[in-house]
Amino acid sequence: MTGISAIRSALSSASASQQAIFALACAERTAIVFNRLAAPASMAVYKAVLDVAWDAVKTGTRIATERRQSLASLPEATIDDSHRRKFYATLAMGVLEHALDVMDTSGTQEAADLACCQSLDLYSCFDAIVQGTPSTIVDPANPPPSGPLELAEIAEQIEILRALTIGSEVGAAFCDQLRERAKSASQILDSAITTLFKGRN
Amino acid sequence: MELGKGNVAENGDIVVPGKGGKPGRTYPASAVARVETRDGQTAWRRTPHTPISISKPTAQSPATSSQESPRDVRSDATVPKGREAPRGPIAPRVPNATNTPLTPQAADVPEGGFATLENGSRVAFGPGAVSENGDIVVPGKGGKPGRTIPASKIVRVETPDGRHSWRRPPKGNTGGSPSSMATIAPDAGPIPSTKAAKPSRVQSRQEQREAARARIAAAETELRRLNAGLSQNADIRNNGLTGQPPNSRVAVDQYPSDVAAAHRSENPNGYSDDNLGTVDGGDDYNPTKKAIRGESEGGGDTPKDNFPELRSDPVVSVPRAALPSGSFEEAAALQSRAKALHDTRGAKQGTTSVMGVQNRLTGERQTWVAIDSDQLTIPRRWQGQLLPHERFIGGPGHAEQKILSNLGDEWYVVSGGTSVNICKETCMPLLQQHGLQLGGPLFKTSTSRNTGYRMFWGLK
Repeated sequence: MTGISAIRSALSSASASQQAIFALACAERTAIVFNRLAAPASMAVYKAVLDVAWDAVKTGTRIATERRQSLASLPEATIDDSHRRKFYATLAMGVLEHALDVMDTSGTQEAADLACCQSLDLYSCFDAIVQGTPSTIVDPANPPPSGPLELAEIAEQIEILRALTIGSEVGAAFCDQLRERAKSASQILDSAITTLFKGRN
Repeated sequence: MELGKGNVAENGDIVVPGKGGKPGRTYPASAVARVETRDGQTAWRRTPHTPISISKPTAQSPATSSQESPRDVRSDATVPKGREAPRGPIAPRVPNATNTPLTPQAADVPEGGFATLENGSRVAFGPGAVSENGDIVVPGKGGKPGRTIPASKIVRVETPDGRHSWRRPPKGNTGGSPSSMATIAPDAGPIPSTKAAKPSRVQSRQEQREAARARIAAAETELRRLNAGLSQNADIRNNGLTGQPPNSRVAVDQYPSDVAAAHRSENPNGYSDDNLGTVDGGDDYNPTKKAIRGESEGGGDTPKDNFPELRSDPVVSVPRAALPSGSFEEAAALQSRAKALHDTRGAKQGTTSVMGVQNRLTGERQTWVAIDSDQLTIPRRWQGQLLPHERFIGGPGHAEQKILSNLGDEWYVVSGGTSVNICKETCMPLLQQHGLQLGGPLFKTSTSRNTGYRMFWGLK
């Protein structure tokens, strides 16, 4: 079973709360892109929404609509030009929005799958940027292998799902542990971004 | 790039003076493909034989002299008053006005279409909206009252695919023959002379379309130049649209873990567009963006009101005369596919572009799909979703841009569509350079950087 198949299989048997934690962990691992590329004022809003979301999964409460609106009102929410660096912050924001969807909607598995896939796509995006590969025609029957960043994200998603499903109870302390683990895991992406964007400062 | 007075030398070379301590540059006339005035009305363009005029319509005979360089066309500020822009051998033409009914005919737009009003605005209408007297009745929606557009205010009506149109006859024409929609035909009569008057936006668009069609017809006699077009395409493939060799960025197999911590201490607030650098010492990590910046140096922005129909005449760098043309119907189907794939991806922003391409040698048809993320891997949500004839184009650039940059010598685009509006700065000019015309329904756009179009197809 390939990585993505294993993830989807595990997600399908996970509970709604486990899917929400999984999706939030994906958002936490891609938040570094937003933190590095978005405007400082937007970063504060983004972090506040992430904090509220983690609190919500720990307490089983809903997220206030205003929080989602604050996210949607950020300038990074509407960037559609991939020639701008902030476009990648927009992609990262998409992962968080899907994670919030998991907590807000009944279609949790679909939203969790979107968070999973967009997180993998974002890591793959930075694989391509780091490697500097020019645009290429890809035959779906013979796809290229995943890069090191995407492979690391696949491994991390599998590990999070394993940790979620083998434990009997998901408490607040466990959520905190998973969040810290996600932050640590995102350092590989942070390193890539730093390597790419080092320069004048 | 934007030119000022005196930038065009007598031999046609473009001389751009240096500024800010940077040396000036000279672009030889042989490297200049097109020159136009700021208002876009007058252009010199390199053609197999002669330049053409898309300028003010005239009843005079076209000039017969050939022109090898753009020396006669300068910025609008430098075209001397009283001096006419060069006229090429291809005169703009319009349908025979004497056969055109005085008002729009309902039977000719059974599916609805678009009406262009005297003030230049464009109104979409549905089936049955054209009344017997030619007025167009637009029903209200969203609580807003409907309105009736009198026939006297309507200067043009066209079908959604833009292929058939009624245009208000010139004053004095009392014909009103039973002839219905005037199909645009290259053998129709000449446009009435309005030598001193600037052509209206509608006229200008129509004339440009006519000129483009006539120009493509002329290209049919130049099939032997096909190889030249192919070699130009090969240049794009070899050098990339960016003008930079591939792999110019540093490949990193292992990412140093200590760099991040060190850098965070230097930049606690993260990065912004202004303080980001690159690995190769430039000011941007994205080579495509560099190219765009280079093109924009000294140039102005695309005018906000510069709707693509004003520039819809394709610059046929690759002669398409021997190639099948695309169609509105195919473009619509591909646009639907682009939208469906984009929705499947669940992306809140970004673009998915789908183009039908054909191999020049084997005739094989494929559908190429791209998104505007740099990833080389097929989006995870599309795994198992792409059809056997579909290919994913990965890598940097806008979605349309990266498809076009992979055509090489073998492939050309027949038709295509995008999930969101096509941008003016990068993709619209590239599509036009490949002989593709933007068209179809106009979508709302939230930014002046985008056109209202999501479809395009090749002209014959």
